[in-house]
Amino acid sequence: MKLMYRYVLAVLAASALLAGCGGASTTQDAEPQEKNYSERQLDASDNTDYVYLNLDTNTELSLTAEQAASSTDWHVAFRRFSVQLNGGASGPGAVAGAIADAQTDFYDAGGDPLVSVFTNATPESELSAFEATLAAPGSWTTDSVVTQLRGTSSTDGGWYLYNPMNGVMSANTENGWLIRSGEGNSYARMRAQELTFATRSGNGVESFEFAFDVQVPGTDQLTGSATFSGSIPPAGGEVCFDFDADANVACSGTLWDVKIAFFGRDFYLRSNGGVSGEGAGAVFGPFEWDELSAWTSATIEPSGSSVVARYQEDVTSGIFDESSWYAYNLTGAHRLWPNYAVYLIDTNQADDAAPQYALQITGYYDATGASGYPRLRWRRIN
Amino acid sequence: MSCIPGGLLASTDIDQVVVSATRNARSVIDAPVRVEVVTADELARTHSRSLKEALENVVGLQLREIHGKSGYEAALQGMTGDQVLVLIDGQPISASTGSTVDVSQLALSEVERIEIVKGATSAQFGSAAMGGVINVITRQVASGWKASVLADGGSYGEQNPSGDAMAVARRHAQVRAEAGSDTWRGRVALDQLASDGFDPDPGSWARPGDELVRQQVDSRLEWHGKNGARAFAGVGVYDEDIDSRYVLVLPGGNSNQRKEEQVRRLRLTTGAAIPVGAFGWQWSALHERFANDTLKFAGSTAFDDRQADISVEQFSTQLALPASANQEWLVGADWRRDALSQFKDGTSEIAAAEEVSRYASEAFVQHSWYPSARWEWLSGVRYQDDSDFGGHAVAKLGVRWHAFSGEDWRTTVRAGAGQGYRVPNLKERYYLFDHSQLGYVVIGNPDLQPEESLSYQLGTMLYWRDSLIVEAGIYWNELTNLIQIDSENPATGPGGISEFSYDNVGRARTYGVESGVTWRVAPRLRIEAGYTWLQAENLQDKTELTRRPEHQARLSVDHDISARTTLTLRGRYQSTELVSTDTGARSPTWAVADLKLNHAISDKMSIFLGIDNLTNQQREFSDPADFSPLAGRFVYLGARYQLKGEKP
Repeated sequence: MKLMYRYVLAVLAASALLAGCGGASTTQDAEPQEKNYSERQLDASDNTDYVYLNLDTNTELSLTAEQAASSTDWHVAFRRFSVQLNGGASGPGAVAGAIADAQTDFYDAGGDPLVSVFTNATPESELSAFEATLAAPGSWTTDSVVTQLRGTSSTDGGWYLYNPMNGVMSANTENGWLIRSGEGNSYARMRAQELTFATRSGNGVESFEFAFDVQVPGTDQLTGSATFSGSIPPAGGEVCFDFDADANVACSGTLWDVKIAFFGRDFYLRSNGGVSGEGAGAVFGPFEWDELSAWTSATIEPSGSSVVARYQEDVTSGIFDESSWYAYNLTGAHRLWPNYAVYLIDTNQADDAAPQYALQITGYYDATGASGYPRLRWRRIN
Repeated sequence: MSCIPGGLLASTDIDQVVVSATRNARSVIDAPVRVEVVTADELARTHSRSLKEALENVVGLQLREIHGKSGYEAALQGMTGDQVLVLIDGQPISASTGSTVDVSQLALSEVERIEIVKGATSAQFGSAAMGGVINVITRQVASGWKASVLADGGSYGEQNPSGDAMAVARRHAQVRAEAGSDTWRGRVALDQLASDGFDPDPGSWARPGDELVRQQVDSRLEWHGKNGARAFAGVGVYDEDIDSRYVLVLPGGNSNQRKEEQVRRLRLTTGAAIPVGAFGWQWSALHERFANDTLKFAGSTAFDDRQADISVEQFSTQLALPASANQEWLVGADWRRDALSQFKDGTSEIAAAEEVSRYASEAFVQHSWYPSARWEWLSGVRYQDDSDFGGHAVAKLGVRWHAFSGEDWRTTVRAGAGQGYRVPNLKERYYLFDHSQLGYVVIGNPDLQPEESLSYQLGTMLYWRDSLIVEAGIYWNELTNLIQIDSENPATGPGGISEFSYDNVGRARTYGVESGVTWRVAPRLRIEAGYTWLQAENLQDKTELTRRPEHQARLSVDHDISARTTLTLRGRYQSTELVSTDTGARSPTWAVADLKLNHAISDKMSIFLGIDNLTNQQREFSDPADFSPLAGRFVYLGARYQLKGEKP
């Protein structure tokens, strides 16, 4: 009888495994009793809409982006390989994440993926990492906006340079960007000309100036010009600019194209699209100015190819971007390989009793090989 | 295709008549261009069931698996299947991928011989023949009547998918009948090959050898008039069903998948050869439709429903002018139309259209000049006007010199130079290979320009009595505007998808040495050995071209044990080949041998036995860069029964 019971369990386990690999189905199949975690494969293959998941109930919520922006019912959202948590710049909730196990043994000392480790790892082999006892994180991360108009370090802001010796920021005239307007029908080439911001002086942004070469709607040549200049008081504030009208405008709606803002520790430049605005704005760059200055069009590169698809909107970034869950194209087949990193998700930072979960992404493909089907498992840890 | 032994005693090696050198009939020894021939006797001795099997033992010819399909392309002198023209009686056959002819998709029930000309011969055969021509010549129907039945079956041993080593995993049958008077003659031939496939690990899901059924029905009606006038019409139907089982490697868990593939080909041909006074006039017409449908499955989920339709129409005519004492002129013209449509899940994969097509009108003039019995000069010019690429002319020059000779020996020297010109095919220009679910697409490039080549061939043959032929040659091919996928520099499209495109990126050079020895050791023993050395360079990147082995060798031993029994041995060797420029991965060296035995029980009945891949040399399936033989040892038995009679 005991043997029979074992056999039934084995069959159940095998069928659950098969179901895990099986098809685009996102319904929850019968799980064997012994599993102490929840599991789900999502159809997040759409390029524009997120799929929203409630970890407590293991349900997918049918929400529009607009509904999701005011809903605290969801915890995690997926769009292809992007992951958002409902908090910070991504939603009205107070969900935050932390990395519990970054699977550093999947990478060499230089941070490059170890291909054979990735290709040999399976959800089964990485179950122990998922089930390990996890320490409380030192800090939690909520999603924040990542502007495309940025640099590479705290001293190189892309369009400005910061001197840590004296705390002075100045314009970086070596770089330039291409920007799509908030209306989405015009473009401009932009370069910072001047910036006077002594951050330790308490004078605020004393002056800034950006020069634009404008490609008006319906054309493919940079023919116009515009200048965005001004200042921001020590108390902070934001200034928006419409390069089509060559005028400062209100920082709402789709009319503005570029926004400069200074609030406390935040100092940034954004375009009017993605998570930064209601408009269709986007950015292509940075380029070295020596190269970009030779362009005569913001939509066709000098070699003649269209670059319209290269523009990118501002996005949010969170723990899944800080500590990536995948490596790309390890075997030349353009696949995303999960590193089986284990994340911690706190469903409500404001409530100590709110459930916290350990979460692991174990796959990204359905059985046909189609991408955009993240498979994840999670278990409560508090 | 007589299975009755005795072929050794006929001196077919040099007296064989060929047409691919000049488009009219010449003997191998006199032809101004070197023509290699796979004879009907060779096809019978080796039990060749398809064009692929027939070409396996041709010196310097490389059979390569077509990427992503069950099938093989033929490569010559370092040039790919795209650049090698495969013809049946001088007429084209559909490129099964829209680009490359799959030589496993042609059964050989009525083949008289196969002629192979290496190097650029485009002046004779049109734009694609930069690497060479493979011309399958079918038999004419004889008067009287004849019928035959052939059946064979064999086993892959422990690699039979059923797990039963004694199972007949591959079965082949052929029925032929023909009858005719002096004037009207007809025939019909049916050929069927069914295979369960093979599997080195029969318990596993993946099955490297596909389960398949191939059927071909050919019928032909001929009229024979006075003074050699004749006309023919033929209908051929080819039908193939393939079932593949493979494991898709996926991050987070592999997926067991299956692919069903159906191929249908309808080929209609007609033509005539009519002497008009001292002129010889020939014309032929071809209509071919080729449909290739595939459907994949993951469990019970069907996906990637792909339907490709290809059609080819060609009308050719040529006129041989009355020959003078030392000159011959041949003029001709071809009209050709190609069309391609391909749908995936109901959506066209052809950029911006449901079907694309091209037309080409071509004309050629060929002049043969015999200043003396020893010399022949052949020159030709071919002009083509393409619907998309306009006019272009190519020229070819060849010379044959029966150089030195003695009582027992003679030598022949051949030199040739030719221009090649290949208009990009419709797939390269318009096809959209959508693998965006894998993160990339391959996009045809409508701005592609034609490939061009210059080909030089120099060879010599030495004949000693009737028992020894030694030949050696060098070749040199320069290619410009080589069309290839620019794998290094994909553009990034919407959604971060890599976009690969065909481009005229390359300049390449292939050169090397071809050599061979045919030796009749004894009246009943003939040995033939061939070796080719190939260098294939990408002049753009200064790298070796992929999938081109440096050394290839062939060995044939034909031994007539008795008047009724023949023993045939065929060996093939090739050195390593580069598989990926990026990773430097190479496919290993391999060598295989086949053994064949034929025995005539009576005039009507013969039996045969064969062992393909005697030493069971097989690739390491876990290594994706290993392109050594797919199938392991295959042992088979067969029988053939033939009846014939005088005019009914």
